[in-house]
Amino acid sequence: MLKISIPILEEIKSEAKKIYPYECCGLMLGTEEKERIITELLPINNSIIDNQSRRRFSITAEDFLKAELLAATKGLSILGIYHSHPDHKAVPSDFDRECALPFYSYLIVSVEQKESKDVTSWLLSENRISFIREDILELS
Amino acid sequence: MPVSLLIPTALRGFTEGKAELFLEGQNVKEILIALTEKYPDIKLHLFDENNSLRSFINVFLGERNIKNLQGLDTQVNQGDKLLLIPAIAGGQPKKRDPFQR
Repeated sequence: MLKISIPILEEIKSEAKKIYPYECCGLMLGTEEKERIITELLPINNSIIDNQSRRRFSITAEDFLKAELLAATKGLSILGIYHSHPDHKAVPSDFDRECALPFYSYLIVSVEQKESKDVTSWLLSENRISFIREDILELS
Repeated sequence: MPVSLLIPTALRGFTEGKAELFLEGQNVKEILIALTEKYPDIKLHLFDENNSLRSFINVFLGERNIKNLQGLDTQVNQGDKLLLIPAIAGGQPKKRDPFQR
């Protein structure tokens, strides 16, 4: 289960609306002992800057490395990745799966006509064949 | 000639939770082979069905991406630090098919 505060969730939805019709993306930092709790976001510029960014996002290895180091200085870990699906369901695509790693929570927010709709979270199966939906618990 | 290899959080479940491994090899390819021999289950996430390094998996030698060096043939020396760093990507299907994924 992914625990995330309502303000952080609203921050993701707000960013997704702001970037629409392009895809937003970023990293979710937090702690995980018995529970996976997201405590802050790290928005990342989508490194795909052409028309593809309406349906693709990319976070470079260099940005990811910087984020890992930043998280470590805060005593946090990168626990997941969020991105938006403009005018599409909040369901991972085959491309999402091909580029995914186990462990991370993949949070997707659908944006329909500039309005954020559903938010879902997914974990890659260890055999890479599918995503498994993860419950989200919104903390007030 | 042991070389340090730092494992990202996402893959530590395959390395008994270890964040750093010391592996023997002359170049990056040999180090990754040593890794997958020691921890076979990690291979699926690093290499595709053609045995090529997955496009989103990056290896850094210090602060330099081996893509900007000699790739998997990049030579390593004792005391070098290698880092496995994922690039993250995703998005929608190629054909826009609204709400029919």
